[in-house]
Order: sequence, then C-alpha cells, then structure tokens
Amino acid sequence: MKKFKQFLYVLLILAVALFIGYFIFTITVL
Amino acid sequence: MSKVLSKVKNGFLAFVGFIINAVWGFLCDCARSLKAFYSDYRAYILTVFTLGSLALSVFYFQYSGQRIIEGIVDFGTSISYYFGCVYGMEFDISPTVLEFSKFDFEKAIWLPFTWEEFLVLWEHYWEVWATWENVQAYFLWLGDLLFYVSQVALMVSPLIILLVLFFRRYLSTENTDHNKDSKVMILHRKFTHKVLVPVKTWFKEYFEFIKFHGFWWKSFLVIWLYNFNLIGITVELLAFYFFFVASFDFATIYGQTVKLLVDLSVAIFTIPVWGWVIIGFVIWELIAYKMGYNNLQHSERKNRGFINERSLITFVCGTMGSGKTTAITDMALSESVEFHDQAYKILLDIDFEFFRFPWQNFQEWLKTLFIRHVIYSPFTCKEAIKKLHYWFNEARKHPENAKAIRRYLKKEYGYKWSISNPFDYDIDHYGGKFWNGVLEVDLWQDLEDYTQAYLIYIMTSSLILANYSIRTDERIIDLGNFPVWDSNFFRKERHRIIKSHHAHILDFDMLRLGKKIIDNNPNFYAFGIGVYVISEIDKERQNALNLQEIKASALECNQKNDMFNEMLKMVRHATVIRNVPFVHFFVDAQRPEDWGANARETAEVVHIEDKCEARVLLPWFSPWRFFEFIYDWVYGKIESVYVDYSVIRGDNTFLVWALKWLGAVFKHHYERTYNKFGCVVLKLGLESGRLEGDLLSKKYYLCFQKIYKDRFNTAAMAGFFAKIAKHADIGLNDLPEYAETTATDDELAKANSHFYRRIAKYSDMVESEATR
Repeated sequence: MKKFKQFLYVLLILAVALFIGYFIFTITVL
Repeated sequence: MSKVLSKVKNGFLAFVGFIINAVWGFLCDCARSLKAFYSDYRAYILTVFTLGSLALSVFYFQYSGQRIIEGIVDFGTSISYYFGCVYGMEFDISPTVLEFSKFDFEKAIWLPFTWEEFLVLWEHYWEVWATWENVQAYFLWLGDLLFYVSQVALMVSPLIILLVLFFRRYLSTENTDHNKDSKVMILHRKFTHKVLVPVKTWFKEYFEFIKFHGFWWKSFLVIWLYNFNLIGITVELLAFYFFFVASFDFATIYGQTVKLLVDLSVAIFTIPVWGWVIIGFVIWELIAYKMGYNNLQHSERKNRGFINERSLITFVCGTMGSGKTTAITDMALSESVEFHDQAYKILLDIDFEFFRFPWQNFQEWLKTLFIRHVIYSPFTCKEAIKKLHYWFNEARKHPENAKAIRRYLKKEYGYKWSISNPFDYDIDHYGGKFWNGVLEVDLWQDLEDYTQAYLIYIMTSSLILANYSIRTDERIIDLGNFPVWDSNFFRKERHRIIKSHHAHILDFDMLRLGKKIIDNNPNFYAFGIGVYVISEIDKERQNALNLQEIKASALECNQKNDMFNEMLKMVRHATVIRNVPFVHFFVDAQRPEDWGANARETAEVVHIEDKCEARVLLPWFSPWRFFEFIYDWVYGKIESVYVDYSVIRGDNTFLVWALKWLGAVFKHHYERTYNKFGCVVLKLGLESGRLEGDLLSKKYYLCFQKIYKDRFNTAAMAGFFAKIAKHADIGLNDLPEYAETTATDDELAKANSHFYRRIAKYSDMVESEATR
C-alpha cells in the first residue's frame, strides 16, 4: 500500500509538471 | 602678536606632523599586512581572481555602473518628490524613477514596458493557450525531448548491462580472501591517497585561507554584487520606495517590476544553467529546512499546550514498548522549560508593577545570596526578604542605629545600597504599593515573589527529580545582567553535547510525611519546586490487593505508614508562587489499576492507545513523498547486491566499493534527515484517576531530535541486571537444547517450572502405584 501510494505521488508530481510545462511552453511560443 | 602667530604656526606644524605620522603609520601597517599576506602563494591566486573580477566589471559589466549613476539620480528626484508631497514643498522635479533606463541593455527581457501593452499580450497569451494547435505543438516538443532523453538512455544502457554482467561474473567466483583488494581497488586507493585527499585538503585549506582574509572575500563579494547589478537595484528600490510612500500610485508597480527584471537580466543571462540549478536547489533546501524547523517548533508548542492543560499529577499508562517512559521523559523536559518561562513571566510582571525600582541592583544582590547559599529554596527566599524588611523598618524607627544595621546587612547579606531607600529605590517618593485593580500589592510582598521566581530562573542545575537519569542541556546565557535561557530543543547547527546536567536523584523519603527509610533524612526538608518523574510507580507504591499483608503499625517504613499519598495530595501548597504551582508529577505504569486508588485518583490517567508510524516533518521528504521513493529504490537495490556479494566473496572490488559508497551517501542523508525531523504521534486517551467516563482523545508529538538525543536510557534500570549478570559463567549458547520436538521427562525437569513440578509429582505417584 505504501509503495502504491508513493507511486501515485510520483504520478501526481509528473502530471503537475506536465501541466505547468504547458503554461511555460505557451509563453515561449508567443 | 608675533607670539600668537608663532603659536598658531607651531600648532599647525604639530597638526601636520600628527597627520603625516598617522598616514605613515597606516601605510606601514598596510605594507606589513600585505607582505604577510603575499608570503603565502595562495594570496596570488586570490589576487588573480579578484583582479579578474574587477576587469570584468570594467570591460564587460559596464551597464551596472551606468545603472548605479541612474539609480542615484532617481533616488535624488524621488527624495525631492517625497519631501514635496509630505511637507507641501514645491520642487520643479519629476521623479525619474518611473522612466526606463536610457542605456540599452542587449539582453533585456521581452516583457512590454507598459501595463496597457501587457494587457494586450495577456489576452493574446490565453488565446494561444486555448488553441488545439498549441497543445499539439507542446506534445510534439515533448516528443522531441523524450527522443533526446531516450537517446541518452540508449547510450547509457550498454553501460548498465556491462555493470550487471560484471556483477554476475563477480558473484560466480567464491572466495574467502578477507579484505584483499582487487587490482582496480589498489589503483583506486592509491589515487585517493595521492590525488583525491590532497586536492580535497588543498581546497579546504584554501577556503579557510579566504575566510581568514576578510578584506579579500568581502571585496570579491562587493565586486560581484556590482557586476550582477544588485547595488544598482538596491538604490533603485530605495528611490521607488520614497516615490511610492508619497504617491501610492499602484499603477507604477508593473513598470517597476519590468525594470527590476531588466536589471536582473544581467545575472539571469550571465549565470549558466547549471549555476541556476545549484542556486535553485540551495533556495529549495533553505525553504524546506525553515519549514521543517517551524513544524518541529509547532509540535513542541502543541506538547506544551497539552502539558499546561494537565493537573499536577499526570499518570501515563501503556503496554511494554508503547513509549510511556519516553513520553513522561519528553513531558518532563518540556515542563522544565515551561517552569523557566513561567518564572520569567512572573519576574517581568513584577518588574512592570514597580517599573521605577532598580531591579538590576536587586538581581545583583540575589545573585550574591545565591552564591553564598543564603537562598536555596522558596522558604529561604521568603525568609531573606522578611529579614531585610525587618532591618529596614528598624533603621527607620531608630535612625541612630542605621549605620550599624547597614554594616550588619553588608556583612551578613552583602547588601551595599542605601539603608533608607531599599536598593536605592526612593520608596518615599515613588511609593511602595501597587493597585492591581483588586488588591493593593505591597513592594515587599512582590520582592518575596520576585526572589522565589528568580531562584527558579537562575538555578542552572536541572529542575527534574527522577527515579532514573534524564539529561537536560538548556543553556543559560549570562552577560552579567539579566540572564536568558536557550531552551531550544531543535538546533540547525551540528550541536555536540558539551555541557549538560542530569536529573537529581529522587529520594522517595522526600515524599514521605510519615515513616522514612532513613530516619531524619536531610533530603526530606528539600521537598519543593520541581518536575518529579517516577517510572513504574505501580511497582513502587502497589495497590490495596498487593498490600494486604502489610500493616500500618509495622516498625519499618512501608507503603501504609509512610504517608506518601497524603504528601501527594498536598504538594501544591509547598510550591506556589503568585498562584502558579511550580510542581508537576509525571508517573507511569503498565496498568492504571496496579497503583492504589487512594493516590491514583489524585492524578489524570493518560492511556497511550496507539503510536503512529514515524513521519518526517521536513516538507517534500516525508515517507510518501519524493526523496524516500528514490531512497527506497536506490538503497534497496544496492543493499541486495552488497549482501549477495558479502555472502559469496570476502575480498574488496572497486565496483562494489563504489556502489557501497553511493548507498552510504543516500543512507547518511536519509538517516540524518530522519533523526533531525522525525516525529512519532502518540494517540492518547485521557480520563480521570477514578477510571470512569469516556476517554478524551489527545495527541502528543515525540520529536526524535529532542527525545533521542541521549536523554535517557530505555533500559534505565539495567544496573540491577548487570549486578546479576556479572556472576554468570554461561551464556545462551551454553544452555542445553531440547533433543527433539517432544521433550523428555528429564528435559522438562530442567525447566524448574512450578507447573511441571506439580504434574511430575502426580505422574511419579501414579508410576510408583503402578509398579507396586
């Protein structure tokens, strides 16, 4: 359960990074 | 006239001589220190770096100099604007801080300079953001990125395969060549000793050298602050501050932000990406550590709140290993700090009641009394002030004896101030009473309270009395005036245990109003203020059932005739200062019923119901977060490889050494962080000593940095067992084993069990009857 929780957190961090990355990417293409 | 002129001339010449002498002396000093500085070859390296930085300032970072000049002009106009607005003065100067730099900086950022332009761009941004094409472009870019990442992975993967193959090869050959180095390992050791260690030492000593020559590193720092335009930014910030406090024109903030970013762009574009990664990591760590320490302090404050809510006797119960002795030790440490804080509050309250009283004199006198061992308990404090009061009254009634009384007080009590005005306080003029809204407080009563609180405050030995040893390390900082306590349990720096105190030995006779184990025990009279900690109170005091055979009329001291319980019920009376009791009992046992109800019902019973899994209070580290995930993975892999290797082989190979080194780096960081920020939450159930009603849920936080810093030994009573063990000639390995899964009659007899002996008795009887 602990391992699964850790895995979910890593997925969450990646998802957030992907989302924030999109905002930064949009700035660069302006 | 000529005389005056000649005097002026002489004076002038003397002055010039003095100046020349001083300048010459200064120059000589400089030459001497420079000579000493350049006697070390490392000084030349430092000089080259500093001069190189200076050359960059002149030839590369010219923009910074120009911006400082502009900043100074902006500051001047802003100050004029400020005075113009605040004092209604008319100046025909407009604040130039609102204008952008006249100098073009080639690496300026792309943000528009005005708010209106920014709004247009902002709208455009969201239009682009919401287009499908942009999303596609993002994923295309991401695909490209992943392509490069996979290329790198492809390049690295053969190396990993090679490593795995190497390990397989290692593990296929067994040996017992203990501590024998492989060829690569021998090379590595030579490289470490001849290259790595000397280089590391050189850099370490070089940084020490720089640190020692403050002028040089400060100059270096100032040059780079200038290069990165930070001096210009500071001047501009001040200029804008004076403009803003006068105008409150919020619309100008955007323009200033852009201006700041343009100024910062010098640093942003000059520092390479890897530099920013390091800076980002350092800032990240600083923020995380600050938050971590705040979390630790917050937990401690919650613990103090929990302890303050409790009555004077707190009885902690829990099964073996539930952490009850740890909990009472932690509570006692916090309560001891709380006592210092409470005493400090009393001192301050009294100080402000008679704010004209020269408290410095009074404190000096109290210190003298403390050193002379005149005051050592609340009672002696009261007595000292009462006597002083008496002699002051006598001196007032009989002024002819004043001198003699003063001499007596000086000799006996070290009192060295006026005899008509206590401690040079003009009592006739300023008065000796304070109306607190309810009562008229007398100065002498306040002095009695102050003395008692001051005694608690300045006692450097531990305030804890316990039946096992507890280490305290609060530090008192005394510059000769009012001392302050450094009671922080959580320290950022590597804090070695240098000076500490241990709890006083709790002599139970102190708590016996009736019969004592030692007749006329002098310690009995010392009962008073303190944090009393008794582990295993049930075994000490027992309950009515266990004491059935014990008689109160016995000649020897026992639990029924020592009047311990009566003492417990009255402890408050001996320890109150300004309505604050300076006594708290923390006791523990496994079952609450094992301590007799007569005493137990005076306490609050705290059951340790559950112990949560330890968590780390450092943000972004905690068990389910990022670092532990990596740690678990990396350390887990390294550990299994290392264990396999050490089972099969006994020699040293470089690859395994390198893996072990990496594992140790991870483990050390993990262990240090875990110990520094680790915390276990105890889930408590609270009830009255009568053991009735519902349990009230509470929490208590055991922070590792506080409680596991060599505070106490979890096997506190190991001394008794050591006494037994030293007579042992055999160990566990020497004890006989059962031969098979079914024990023989002889084997069972060796158990010396009451149960087996009883059975054996009947089986023997049956056997003898059968044979008869």
